[in-house]
Amino acid sequence: MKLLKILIVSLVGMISASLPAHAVIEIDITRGNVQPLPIAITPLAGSGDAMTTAGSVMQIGQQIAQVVTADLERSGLFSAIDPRAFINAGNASVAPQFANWRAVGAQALVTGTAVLEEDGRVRVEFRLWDVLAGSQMTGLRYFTAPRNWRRIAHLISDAIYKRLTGEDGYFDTRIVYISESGPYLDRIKRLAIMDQDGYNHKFLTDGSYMVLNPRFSPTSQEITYLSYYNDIPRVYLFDIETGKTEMLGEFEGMTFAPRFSPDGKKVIMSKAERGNSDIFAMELATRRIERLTTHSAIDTSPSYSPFGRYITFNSDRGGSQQLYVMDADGSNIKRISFGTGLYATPVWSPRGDLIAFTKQTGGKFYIGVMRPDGTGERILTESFFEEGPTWSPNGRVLMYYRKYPYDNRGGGGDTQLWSIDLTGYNERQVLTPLDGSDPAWSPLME
Amino acid sequence: MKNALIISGVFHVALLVTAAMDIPWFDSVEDSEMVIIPVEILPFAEETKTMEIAKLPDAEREKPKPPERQVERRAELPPPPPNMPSTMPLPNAAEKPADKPKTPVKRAAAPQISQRAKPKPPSRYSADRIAQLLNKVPEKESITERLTDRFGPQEQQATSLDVQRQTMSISAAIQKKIEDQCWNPPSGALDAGSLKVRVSMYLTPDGKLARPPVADDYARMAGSMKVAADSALRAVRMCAPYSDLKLPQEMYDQWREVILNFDPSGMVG
Repeated sequence: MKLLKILIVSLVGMISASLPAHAVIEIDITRGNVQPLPIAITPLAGSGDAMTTAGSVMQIGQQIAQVVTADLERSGLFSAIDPRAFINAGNASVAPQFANWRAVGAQALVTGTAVLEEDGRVRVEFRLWDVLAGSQMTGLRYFTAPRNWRRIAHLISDAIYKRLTGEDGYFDTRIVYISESGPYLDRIKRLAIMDQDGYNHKFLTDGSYMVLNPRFSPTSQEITYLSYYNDIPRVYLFDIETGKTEMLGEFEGMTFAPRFSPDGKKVIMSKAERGNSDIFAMELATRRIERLTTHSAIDTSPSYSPFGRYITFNSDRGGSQQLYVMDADGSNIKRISFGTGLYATPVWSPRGDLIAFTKQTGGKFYIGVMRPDGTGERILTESFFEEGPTWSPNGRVLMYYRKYPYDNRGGGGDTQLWSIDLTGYNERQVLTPLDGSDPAWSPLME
Repeated sequence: MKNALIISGVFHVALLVTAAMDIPWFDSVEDSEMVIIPVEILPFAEETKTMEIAKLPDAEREKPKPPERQVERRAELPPPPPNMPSTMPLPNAAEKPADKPKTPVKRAAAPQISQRAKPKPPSRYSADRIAQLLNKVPEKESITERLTDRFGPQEQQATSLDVQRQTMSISAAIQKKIEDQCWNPPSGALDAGSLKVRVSMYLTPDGKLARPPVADDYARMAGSMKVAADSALRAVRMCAPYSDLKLPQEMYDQWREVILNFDPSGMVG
């Protein structure tokens, strides 16, 4: 009996295995339309009228939703659905009515709660939902002092951005820049810092002396800048958390502040000696300085690659100002820019794939990017004058400043901060209380 | 020992029977000229008459059916999609259904593998003949028109080339809809060009999703790869139902399961 079973099973199995299986159509989808993802962000619900030191919990919940909405929209990758279109936003503690969200065109949905804890902190939770699949994509919970709600909002934006784009966000970051005011012959330049969205603005110097070129450490909340205090150019190291300032040294002939190495342990700079500018690296712990280039041409604006193996800089050693890449020890120098015009201020992207630069040709200035081998040059933006690109920590957005022409009456010359993403389509002005130039983007805060 | 001999004998007999039925060199040469039309066309004719055919066990003709029926039946059970397990650490009733999907994901893999087998070697036809046949069909003709021709009142002699041609137009229709209307590819990721995703889509006869689409290896994906898979799954869902394409009912067997290879490499600079 058992044998018969085996016989039948094996016969049927082998015969059916040998018969043709039914065909499955296989289709290649190779085109699509890159569009902002429609996302609905509901105000965080919660323990309504409970008062905190920063307003009622309900207000905080609403404001967090507004900041998240603004962050995501500014990235250009999302389009937030007008809350007035929401059909019954519902209770945040149960699963959303996905049909209602699908009806308003949302593909992603953010819900959440803000609740006042007994210890005076606020507990903020959010969930990101895939509306079409009807499932949760991510959800996180934070505790914070009520006055920090803005940071929580940026952290939520970062988490949503990461889950929906696959890249780290850049919303929980800050910008230092040079705030400018006064007539152009007597410009007051102050160091200032603000959140990436322009809030929490603070001046760090009083304007009695000139400051230039702030640069963020990629590993800590520290900046270097060049100061002309008492008309002597000195490089300072400023710790944002502690407010402590330290002088790195007096560097005769220095016109740009140094940039940090990726590990934050070294700075790299250009320095003029007897009219000739070369590249030097300085170890911060020992203050030991090492010369990296020796050439009669002018070498300036060095910037490390993300792992510190290479350095990009500009030089006129080929006859005109062009971009070069060399090994971190100064060897193996290769020219990478060959287009028409002059190239300056190369900055290596934190994700390593591109070098941003300023280009000058035909009486105009441009901000562009190219691959580290010089291929794939792409111009992102142009104007009368713009320069000083700085990367967002995820390497997808550039901030730079733009200067407008002077007029005949001694006015004009306004400077503004602008940002643009790598697509070249999402260009936005970054609002500052006064004029702004020389922005530097911080790494993500910890 | 005796048992082993018998089992061995059984296998040998089975092997011989199989070989006699299927191995090409047992076929006569005339077979290839006759084009085995009935084998290819009968299932469609039958399915045209009765929709329940998908549910009928038909082990003799179609081996992959048993696993497929399983999938269909189970598809109705888990209401939330199987491919997006919740990662939320917070306790909530809403997430509970998300645990179930794990099993359907695995199940989906099995039929895919067995169904990849090609039904007929197309190489039996000369390239000229294919070109001739294709030339007869003006490019702009809609699928429905072609199908009326093909399955219209006058019974025409069908060949598996017709089937192939229609399969191509079904593919083209689905491809066009997803590419033009639904796919929002991941952009700007560092490795955007290499984010290729293979998605299985299961359709009901009226063009709805029979069950949630499944991306190969979704459970193991992370980061930008997962984001790419999400964008592909969103596209499949966004485009549903596919009823507007008026896919030929007669050929439901062909488009009941569709594999979509999402490949953004051509779009990345």
